[in-house]
Formats: sequence, C-alpha cells, structure tokens
Amino acid sequence: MGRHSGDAYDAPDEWRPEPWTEGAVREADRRPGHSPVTRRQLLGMLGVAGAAAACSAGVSVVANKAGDDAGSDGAAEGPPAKPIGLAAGIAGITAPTSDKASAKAYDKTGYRSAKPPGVAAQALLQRPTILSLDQDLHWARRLTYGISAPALRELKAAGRDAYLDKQLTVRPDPVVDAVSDRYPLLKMSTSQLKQLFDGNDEKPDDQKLDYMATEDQLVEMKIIRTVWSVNQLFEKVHDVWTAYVHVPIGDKTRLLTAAYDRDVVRKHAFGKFSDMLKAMIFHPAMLVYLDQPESNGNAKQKDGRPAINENLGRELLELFSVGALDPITGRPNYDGRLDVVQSAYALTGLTVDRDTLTMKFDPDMRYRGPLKVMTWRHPNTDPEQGVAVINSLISYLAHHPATARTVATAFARHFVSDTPRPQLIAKLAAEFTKAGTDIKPMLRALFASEDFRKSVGQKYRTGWEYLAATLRATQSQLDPNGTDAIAERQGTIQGVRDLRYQVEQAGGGPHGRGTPDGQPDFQAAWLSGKGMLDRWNQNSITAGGFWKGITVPDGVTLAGRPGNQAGLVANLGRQLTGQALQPGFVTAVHQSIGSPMTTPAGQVQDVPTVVRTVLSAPHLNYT
Amino acid sequence: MTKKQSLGEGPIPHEERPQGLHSGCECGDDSISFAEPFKRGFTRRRVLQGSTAFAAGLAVQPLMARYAFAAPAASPTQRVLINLCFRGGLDQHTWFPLLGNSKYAQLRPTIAETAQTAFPLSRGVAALNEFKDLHTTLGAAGFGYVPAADSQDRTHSHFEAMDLLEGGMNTPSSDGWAARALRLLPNPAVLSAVMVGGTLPKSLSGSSALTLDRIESFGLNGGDEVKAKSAAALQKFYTQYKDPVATTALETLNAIKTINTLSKSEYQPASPYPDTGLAQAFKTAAQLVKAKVGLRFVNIDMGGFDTHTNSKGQLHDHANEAAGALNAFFQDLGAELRPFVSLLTTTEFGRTAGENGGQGTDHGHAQGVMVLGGGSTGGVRGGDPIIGTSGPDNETKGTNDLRDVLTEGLTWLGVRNAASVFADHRFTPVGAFKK
Repeated sequence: MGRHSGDAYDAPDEWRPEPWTEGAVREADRRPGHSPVTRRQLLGMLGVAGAAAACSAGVSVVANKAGDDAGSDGAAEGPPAKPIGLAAGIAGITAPTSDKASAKAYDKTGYRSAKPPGVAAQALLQRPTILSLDQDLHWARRLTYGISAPALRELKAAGRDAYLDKQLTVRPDPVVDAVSDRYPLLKMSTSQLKQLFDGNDEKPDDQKLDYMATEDQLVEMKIIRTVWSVNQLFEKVHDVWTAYVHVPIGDKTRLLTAAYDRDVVRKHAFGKFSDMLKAMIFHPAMLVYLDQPESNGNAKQKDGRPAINENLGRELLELFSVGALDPITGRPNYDGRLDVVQSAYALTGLTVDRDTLTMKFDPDMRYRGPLKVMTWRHPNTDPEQGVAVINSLISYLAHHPATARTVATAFARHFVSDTPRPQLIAKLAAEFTKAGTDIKPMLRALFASEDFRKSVGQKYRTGWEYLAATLRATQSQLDPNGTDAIAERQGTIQGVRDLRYQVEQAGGGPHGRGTPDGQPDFQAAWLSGKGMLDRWNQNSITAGGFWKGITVPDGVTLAGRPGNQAGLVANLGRQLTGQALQPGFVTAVHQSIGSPMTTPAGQVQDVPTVVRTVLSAPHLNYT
Repeated sequence: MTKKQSLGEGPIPHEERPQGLHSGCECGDDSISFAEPFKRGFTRRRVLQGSTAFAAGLAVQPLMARYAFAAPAASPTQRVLINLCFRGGLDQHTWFPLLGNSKYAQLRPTIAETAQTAFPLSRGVAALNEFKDLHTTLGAAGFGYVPAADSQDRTHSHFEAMDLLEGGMNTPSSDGWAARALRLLPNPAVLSAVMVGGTLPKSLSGSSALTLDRIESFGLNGGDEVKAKSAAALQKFYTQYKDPVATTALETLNAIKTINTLSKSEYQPASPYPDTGLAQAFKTAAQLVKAKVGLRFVNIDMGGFDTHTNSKGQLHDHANEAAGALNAFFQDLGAELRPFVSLLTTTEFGRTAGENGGQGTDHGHAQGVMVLGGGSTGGVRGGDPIIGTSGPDNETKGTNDLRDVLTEGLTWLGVRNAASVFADHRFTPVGAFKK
C-alpha cells in the first residue's frame, strides 16, 4: 500500500506551467481537437486493463492499447499509466467514514493506511490550474469555505491584510446566533447532559429525547457555521484542530463530544496549543474515547503485566503532539514501545466519574515510580500529585520542536497544499515555537509566505467543503421559519439535516471520522467516481433550491439580471466561481442550453439547470 | 450580540432552558417536546454508514445490491464474487438443521426442522426443502455449506457485529474488507465498485463505489433531456484540461454511459425471475455479468432475519424468497457462465441452537455460510459445529473462522494475497472454495 503516497505532481509534457492571467486564452484552447480523451472507445476506456487513465501523479499520456487509435491524436506515448479511478484505493488511502457506532476500538491497519502524502522537497512554483491566479480570489477561496460575492466584496474593500486581521478575531455571528436557540444541547456541560438524559429510556416514546440528539446538534451546527458563519477562518482552523485532537461522535462518546468541541477545541482554536492540549488531556470525552478509565497503573493483569491501557498514552505522542515520525526528516521521534508505555504510565490515575461524566483523578490507579518520556523525566514520587506530573508532561510535549513541525504540517497541508515544502514547515514551526505555541503568528506567517501565494488551486475540496462552497457561491440563505424547514424534527432545521445526510453519504461529515487520526486532508482520500457523481447530483438540488429551510436566489437574480443569454452565462460564471470562466467552458454551457447566445435572458429555458451546469464546472472542486 | 456559548456548570436555571427541555427543572415541567422521540432502531441509525441495512435488519426490508466493476479482460471471462448479506442474524439451525445431531430436536421443542421439511446434505447437516431446486440447479458440487464459522463478535449487538463483519472481523476499522480486497485485484478497476441503494456498505467503504439503484436510473439525476445535456456539458468541461480530477470525472461519465447503454435494451433473462426485490437485484447482477463490463464483486443485502419470536414461518418465507432468487440467477447465467460466478453468504452472527420462550431464537456467535456456484467445492466443509450444553443460550461454537472462508473466496476471485485483507488474523484453510 502507499504506492502513490508521496508522489509529487509531475506536470505533463504538453502542459507547461504558464502564467494564467484572467482573460488570457490558453494555448491548448487555441488548438482545435486537442483532446486526448475524446477519441477513446467507451468500453475500451473501461477495458484497457491498467492503462485506462493517467495516474494520480498526473502523467498526461494514456497508453492506448487499442491499436487503431495509437498516435492518431498526436499524443506521445509515455510510461504505462496507472488506473486512477481507484486513486483512493490504490494509494492505500481510505475515504473517511461516518462511523458513529464504531468508536469502540480502532484497527491500526485501518487508519494508518490513510497516510497523507508527505512533505516534499520541490521547487517553489505555481502549478498549473484552471483557477484565476488573482490573489484576492485566492484568499477568498482559501481563507473561507468558498467565494461568495458579498464576502469577496468585503475582502476587496478591506484589502487582504486588513481582512486577515479581522478574520483573526472572532466576531459576533448573526446567522449562527439566530438559530442557536434550536441547538441548546450545545451549551450544556457534560454533567447537565447526563442529568438530562438519565431516565430518558424510561420515558414514554413521545417524551423521549433522541438518543443521539447532542451529537446531531453538534454536527448540524458545524454545517451551519461552515456555510454561514462570518468567522470563516476560525471555522477552517477549527477543522484542522478537530482533526488534530480528534474525538469522534458515536455511541462511546455520547453526551461528551459537544462539550469537548466547545471547551477544548473552540476555546483554544485561536489561542495556544499548550492550553488546548492541557484541556484535552483532562477532558472526559478524550479519556473515555481512548479508554483511559481502564488504565490502572497500580494493578497487574493475570500474566503479571501492568493493567494499563496504552491507547491514550500512545496517541498523545503519535497523533496529538510530536508525531510518530518527524515530517521533515522522517526519523522516529520516540521509541514506539518504551516511550509509549511510559506515557501511558504517566497518565494513569486519570479517569471519569460515570455519574457526572466529569474527569476525576484517582491516586489509587496511579503508577508508582519514576517516569521518562523522550527527554522528559519526573520522579513521580507522590501519587496524589499526579495531575501536576501530567501537566508537566503535557507542557513538555506541547512545546517540543517536533510538535511544532507536526502542527505546522497539519496547517500547511490544509492551507497550502497536500505536499508542503520542508522549508515552509520549518519556518512555520519556528514561528509557532517563538510564540510559545500561539497559533496566530504561525497563521500570519503562513498567509504571508511565498508558498501560499503560489498555491492557487492546489487543494481539492472534501465532500462537504464542496457542498458548502456551492451553497456559498449561490448565496444561499438560512430560512429556518420556512414552511417546510422544520419537518420531522422540531427545533432543528430539516435542510441542514439533509445536508448532513448528503455529506455523510459522500464519505464523511464533520466529527464523523471513526478513528482517532481525524479526517484526511488530501486529494486522494476524496477523489472518486462516486464523489464526482454525488457532487453533480447535489448541484441540481442546490440549484433548484430544494434544501428545506435554505433559500437560493434564482439564476437570473444571481447573474444580476442580464439582458441576454450570453450575459447570463458569463455573469453566472463569475458569480459562482469568482472568475471569468475560460472560453471552452462558456461554450460548453451555451451548447448545453441549446438556444443562441443572443436569446433574451427571460426566454432562456430551465434556468435552474443552467445554474446547475455552471456549478458543476470543475472550478469549484478546487480551492 | 454573540449569544452565550456555555451555560457553565451546575443546574441550568429555568430562564436559560428552551421550551420543551425543562426536564429536571425547578418549574417541574417534565415533558421533552423538543425533539422527535427516539424510535427504536431507526432514527439514529439513519445517518450511519449502511444505515438502511440496519433498518433492514430490524424492521422494514429495503433491499440493496452493490456491484463492483473492474477493467474487463478481453478473455478469459473474469470471475465474480457475490456476497449475499443477511441482516439481523440468520438462524442457521433452521435453514440448515443439524438433523444428524441427537440434541437438535431437544433444544428446539417447537421450532425444530425435521426430515420432512429438510433434505440431507452430508455430515448430519440438512437443508430446507425450499433449497431443493437450487441444489438441483447447482448440483452437489456447486452447493456448499460451512456450518459453524465464527465472526469474532462478542457483543451480540447488531451495530457492533455488523461493523465488525464489514470492517474485517478483527477490530472495527475505518475501511471495509471488500474495499481492501478490491484494491488487491490485479487489474484494479477504473471504478472499483458500483452499488445499489443510497448508502455505501461499510464493507465497501474505502472503495470508490458508485450508487446504482437500478440500471435504468443510474447516473445523473433529472429528466432524460437534462441528463443528456448535463453529461455533454460535463464531458466538455473535463476535456478542457488534464489532471487527476478531470480524469476521474471523464471515467465516471464513461461508466454512466456504459451502464445506460445496458439499460436501453430490455433485458431478456434466460429463465424467469420471481417478482421479489431480491430477485430483481440478482437479475440486475446477471445482466451486468453477461454484459461483460468488468463486474467483479457484488454485495446484496437481504433484511428481516432478526427472528426472536415465531421464527419458523418467517425463516421459511425468507428461504423461499432467497432460494427462488438464487435459483433464477444461476439458471439465468447458464452452464457457460456458472463456473465464473460464486456466491457466499454472511450475516452479523448466527443464532442460538436452543430456542427461547417465544418460539424463536436469540443471538449466537457462529454462523452458517453458504458457498454456491462455480467456486464452491460443494458439500459440508470445515470443522463440525459444537453445540454447547452449558450456558444460557446453548451457543454453537464455531470451529472455523469466517475470515478464512472470505479469504478463500477472495483468493478464488483473483485477489492477490487475500489473507492480508484480514491483517490481525492467521489464515487457516477451510476448503470451501476451489483455488
């Protein structure tokens, strides 16, 4: 497994990186018939074993085994291409699952097979993209979940630097606040929730609270924030942190994850990582998820081994701080056996009071003896002082330089590209360390970097990022009082529930990843035939305004009431993607409409399908 | 004004509570009208992966079939493996009663099968008469059965067990065994899996599976004209440039065209299919096999097997339906294609050898696995089932591991190093599949 992980993107021969200014016609567009794929036989395409498509490394040429076609379109023969429809599968990378019920344990094979491509030494250049290289558009795309015309205007008016300053503070959020009353469970503490749900099973059916109501509200509110929050950068940073210190929703962590999200992740997302890690290690959600209450450092199993559970101790090192391997050098950061065991010993005593679902420290479960994890040492003489010892370890790990590099890699992978340069990682890690693990200076350095500037179009949107982008592009509004907005479930919004269902079908929604490594943040995990078809089909729902409780302006309004079809298509293109669509795409849209370009806008047939077609242009797949 | 993010610790004051959430409040209003009441088995499972399957197992029986395509070789015909998954926990002691075991009739005073209702296979195992026609079609060499395959589940929970089953039987993993296996096929698929039904089964999660409700309705949504225009526009869009995304898009469009071409001609099966959902799914599978588009793996679910009470009638009905669909399917394939198609069955767990107080049975551990078709070695394979005499539910101990049967099936299919799909398990041959 992992054959493709780490492959750098090799620009194909006939596609040299060329400056792409808005309005410029691409060389390739000028050559008629330059279309390496159109001559393929249908079944032949499916049938040519192993040579059906370019490999995920982007080698352009498809070795066409059907003899009569070879060379007829002038495409040069290249190395044997690898099939790519299984890009997710070939690289041994799995699409994430929404796996609520299975947070009980996790299989190492499963999640370790979802390894992201590594940090790659490479030249600092802008790779080919169909997206406009305009930096305002790039910022609007990358720092939010997608360009929407009003948000773009705000950015252009303020200028990028001032916009970043504004986005680095959390502002009041009118749309979110307006609906937050419908999601009251998100404000409650774990003990309050426990009290609320105690005895819920005995209640008659019409008085029972839904078993997973808390988790449902958490996910739905995240979807709402993704699309409509004004604090877009905060929500994106929240995504990175959620994956970094991941606790999934599910049976095991029921009633715990909403409080975890609020008190650990959101509280410190724009603050210091050392504070976040400390809040994390003492939170009942993380303790329950990784079985810390089963870890008894002061007892032995039948075979004489200590009765500890290594899960939290291991993941603390592997996922939540230093990381198993250094992202730049690839060398192990710690001993996979000894340090993991010591880390587990260090955490013993942490447990959860099941009656109140709060953390409690039990000195009777604490390991007695000196501790050593990497270069950290502690005599650990007094079991009663275990919390202080844990604080010391957490502080060491949070400030460790390897942690800085791992955190920097996570953010670079999210905001720059799947394969960030080691120089960038090193620079961001240095900022992070200099600021005492405060994330904001690192973010500033990231957005100021040349790597970021030259990363236009290099990130492929995940399933729900794509859905969010299309909702933002169409300037959808949340209308919770719409007549069919509240269907089955009183209180929450039907359309948002449906969005959630849609994204979970598409391979994973917020908080859903069943394993502790968090949602994968690279193209190969999300690119699939099913995913593409899902995107095209949900665009028809979006364009038609069929999400209940979510209104979408009609196409003619979106396009600013143009005079004729040409204006309609051109303006829709610009509104929905932020840029002028290249001529080839525009022509394709006109052909799909069928009527001449001069047709008055009011006479264009089936405008929702026109909107759907423009939404389905490739541009919105990238950010 | 940003609303308060947290209510802090301690009891929530009355003013802070929203309407309908005053349970435990000092005002004494105990009603919770806030959210829809929890309907056992349905609401929360709706959004799970494969959720319709759970609902299928417990209440209604939506049917789902999933198909996986691989690049078709010009020749020879490629093998196809079908996993027929019974949701709910199939009672193997009804479908395949251990008539040769003296304890059998004692353990099931009211629901035992007899020599009148079942015909003998071998080694003391019989099969319900409903399967007789299927047995004739396949021949003794094509009708195999593994009586006691353990699935490692210890929870008896539908959720956990199904997750375990689909994940790969060791520990729940983030991808499914079928997906892992498909990656190891020598000519990996352009589009590795196509599935029927709204949700990706966990066994296929991690493969790039397409949804296929029925062949006729597969693809872009919308009316015919909209579909055609949309497909044309997408085709043009993704030929404007080249990168992995564009390539995937074009492959997807090709797959849609291929499947739509199939649906244009009304399929004439070589032998008639019963008018059940299960049979229709098998009919679609047969159509795809015959069209030689590279079908390799099919997953079909059948629900309704959680037979805690009055199980006999239900199980006979299910047997009738299953046998009818399977028989039609294998007959339709014909002698030419039958050697290339195998089917095995899986379920969350088997059921207890002893009956419970409600003329039904409860969740057990080991399950019976049917192995039918071209790859089957026929007969009753694997170690003998051991019916426990102690314990409250007379467990049937598995003497085989389900993972071994699956590994053999995948090996027959052509998956390289199939044992690696089940990483934590050491493969032991059962002999249920030909090589």
